[in-house]
Amino acid sequence: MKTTHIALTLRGNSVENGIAVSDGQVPFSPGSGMTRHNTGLLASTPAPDGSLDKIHVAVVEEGVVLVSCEETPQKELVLVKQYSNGSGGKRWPSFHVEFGSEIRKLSEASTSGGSGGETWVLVSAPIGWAENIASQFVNERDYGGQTISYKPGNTTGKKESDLPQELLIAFRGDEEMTRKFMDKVATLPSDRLDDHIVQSCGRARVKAHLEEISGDPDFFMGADPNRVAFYVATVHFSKVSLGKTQLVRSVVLSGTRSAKPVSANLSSRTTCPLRNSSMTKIPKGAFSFCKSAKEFAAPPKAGRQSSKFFKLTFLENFTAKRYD
Amino acid sequence: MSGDCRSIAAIHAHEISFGINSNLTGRKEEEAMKLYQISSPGSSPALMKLETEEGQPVAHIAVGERGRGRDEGIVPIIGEGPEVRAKETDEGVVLVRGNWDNEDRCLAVINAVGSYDRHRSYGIHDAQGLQTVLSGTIAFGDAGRTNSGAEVLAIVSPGATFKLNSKYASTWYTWTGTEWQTESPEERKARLALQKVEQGGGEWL
Repeated sequence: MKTTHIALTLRGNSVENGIAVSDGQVPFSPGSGMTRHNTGLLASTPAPDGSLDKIHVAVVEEGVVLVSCEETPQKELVLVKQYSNGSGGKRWPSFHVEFGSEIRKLSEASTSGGSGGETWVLVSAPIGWAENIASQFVNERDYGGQTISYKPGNTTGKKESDLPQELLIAFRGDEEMTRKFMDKVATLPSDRLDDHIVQSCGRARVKAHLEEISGDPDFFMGADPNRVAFYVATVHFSKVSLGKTQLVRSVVLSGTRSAKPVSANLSSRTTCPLRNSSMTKIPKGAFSFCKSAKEFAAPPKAGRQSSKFFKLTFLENFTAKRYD
Repeated sequence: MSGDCRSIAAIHAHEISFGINSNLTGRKEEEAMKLYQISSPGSSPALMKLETEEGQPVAHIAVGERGRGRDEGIVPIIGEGPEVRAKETDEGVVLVRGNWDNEDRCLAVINAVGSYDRHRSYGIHDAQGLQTVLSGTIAFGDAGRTNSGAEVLAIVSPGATFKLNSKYASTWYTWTGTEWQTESPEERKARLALQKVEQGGGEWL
């Protein structure tokens, strides 16, 4: 009795149809880590180079053999590419899967040393398994690594939260810390806050200012001030000006992580007139800043900032949302 | 050293042929064997030259090293001719040159020691069809106690396989009777798995 499998490749929140084949094997070609030792055989196949779609799976002592077929699939054969990012990508979440009894683990290949690492596992799983895992993974910078298990009843995937998504990401998905920070922000005296510093100045100045006002040296609790300052502005300033935070959000809204569509001259340095400091280019992480940035973004302020500083594409319906 | 070799060679009136392969398989004693060298784990087997760069005949083959924690073995090469065959004498093994007929066995000098690694197992693993004629030891460090491995002269039968570990990888060697084949453990497993399934073996999911 042969069960037809549909071949899928799962990496983080991405599920692709097919499993790549090269030289009669499912190749192990990780993006992180080193493969200086023998990595392990994922599967062999008599099929030519390309991609396998529908297959029969045979297991022998030496390994797994995949044979192409054209029948209706009853199960999934998923190549799960688990990873921990290496140098240059360590702020992005790692992706691992907790394999339960619903799957059968067939083979495994992994890196050995180097920066970051990958372990690819070939599993036979029920239909919908890969999508279920992928839908739960939050691929946001600074969110923190995740080990995901299969949740059959979970059709929506990610856990819904009433907290601002951007804050949640800044605190690596820690809801308790996020609420604590929101409480801290709520108790800040609005009249002592300098909206220019909070919205326009750099990380160090924002950090120093808010720690001084709050009297709490651990005001940010490990979060990046640049990523959470917008929330202070949203809560305490009646009019959220187009400061750096908005610039970041505008970039997010106007383009992708590659920032190609952004027309702003990001490399230019502009002197801060009030503090005689300078503002530098946007941190790369800002491009993953928020999905619901529309909720927080505000219309550009006329004058200096909008004319010289932000030659950006703005989306419609920018309205400030307050969380008070 | 060469004097020792010649003195050993001089005894070859007492030589006896290698019994296992010649007697059991009925091969003629006069059959010649190609002499290969695997210089390190992972490297391709290469035919050993029986002449020096100056055109002089090579007087002996040494395996292993001399020194503390090490063993050196020397096989003299005697006679004249383009091919060699191995002979065992009362005093040891000699290689005899001559115009021997070709055969499907071969001789191989196998160095199983890779780069320095404190705990890597350097040896000839999972060997089949390999008859060791002479063995030496190569070690690391002056004291020769950190790690070591074998270098051997062996007679290799057709279909013989063995695995050598280098510092970071393993390589399988197979002698087909006419040529050497090398493959990684993954390639070997893939080939064997396909063969088994083609023959109707395995469990279908």
